[in-house]
Amino acid sequence: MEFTDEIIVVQVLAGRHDLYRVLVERHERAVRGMGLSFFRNNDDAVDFAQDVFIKAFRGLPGFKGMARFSTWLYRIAYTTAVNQVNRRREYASLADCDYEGAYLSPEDAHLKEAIRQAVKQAVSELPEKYRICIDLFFFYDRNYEEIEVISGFPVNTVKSHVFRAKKILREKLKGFVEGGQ
Amino acid sequence: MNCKRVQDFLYGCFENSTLLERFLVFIHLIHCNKCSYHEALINRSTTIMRNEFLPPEENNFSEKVISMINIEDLNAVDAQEAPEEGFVNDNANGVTIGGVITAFGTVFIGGHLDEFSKRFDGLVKRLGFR
Repeated sequence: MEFTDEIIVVQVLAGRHDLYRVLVERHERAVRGMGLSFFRNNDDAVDFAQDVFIKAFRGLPGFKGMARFSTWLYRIAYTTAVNQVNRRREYASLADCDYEGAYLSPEDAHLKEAIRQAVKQAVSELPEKYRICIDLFFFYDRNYEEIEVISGFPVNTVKSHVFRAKKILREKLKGFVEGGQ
Repeated sequence: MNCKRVQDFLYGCFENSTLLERFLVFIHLIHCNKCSYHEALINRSTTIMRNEFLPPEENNFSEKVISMINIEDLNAVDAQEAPEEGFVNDNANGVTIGGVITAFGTVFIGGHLDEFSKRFDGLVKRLGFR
């Protein structure tokens, strides 16, 4: 049985600091991913992620469980990144980054490429500050309300940006349906 | 419910769907291969989005974070055990001032013993105790 983040937070606050490792392991990729989007450099992204996890640990008594722990953590990550003075480059979507991932079947690799193209197109049509909304929805599994909590943008603004991205994605996936039938 | 409406639903065009709508979509998907294919495609896409776009795990990342937190914890404990900053100096100042006042008082009283004796005698006489 896997414990939820919120149960682990309660345990950490009760003094079992070693359990914080589980939370770090669960969310490291996401927080570092956000770092890569803002800093475009793995070393800076690692430093950033360490900073975020330590800030989150210190602020853990302030976590009231009003949102998911991960949403609370991403909020800290987002504000930390936005306020970093050494952030010189504009936000790059995760769709722009290319990593050696797990082996994908040719069809899934093709699907991944279609998703990448759709997100890139959607993101390129947005002002820089709103780009993260698309990533948060598609890659970080956040709903509109959670994106509002993380970014501070009004939920209707978030909805309209994501809606447009969904339409583009639908268009890109059309080819698969036609090819698959 | 027709295929277009079901696909609109699947691609998230209906933001607030009712329970009835979800039920009708479910029924439609049971017998419509085309829409089932759309559903499977969306599910696969979602899995790819959640797993394939985040960077791979960094080696020993959690170890580093936990060791930094442990160092902070140790520092916090040391800080609690050590006397508060300023306490030692304040105490030393207090002792010094107290010593100076005591010494001054001793010298003052010692230097005025005769005068104090005369005044005390005068007071006793005035009150009629002798």
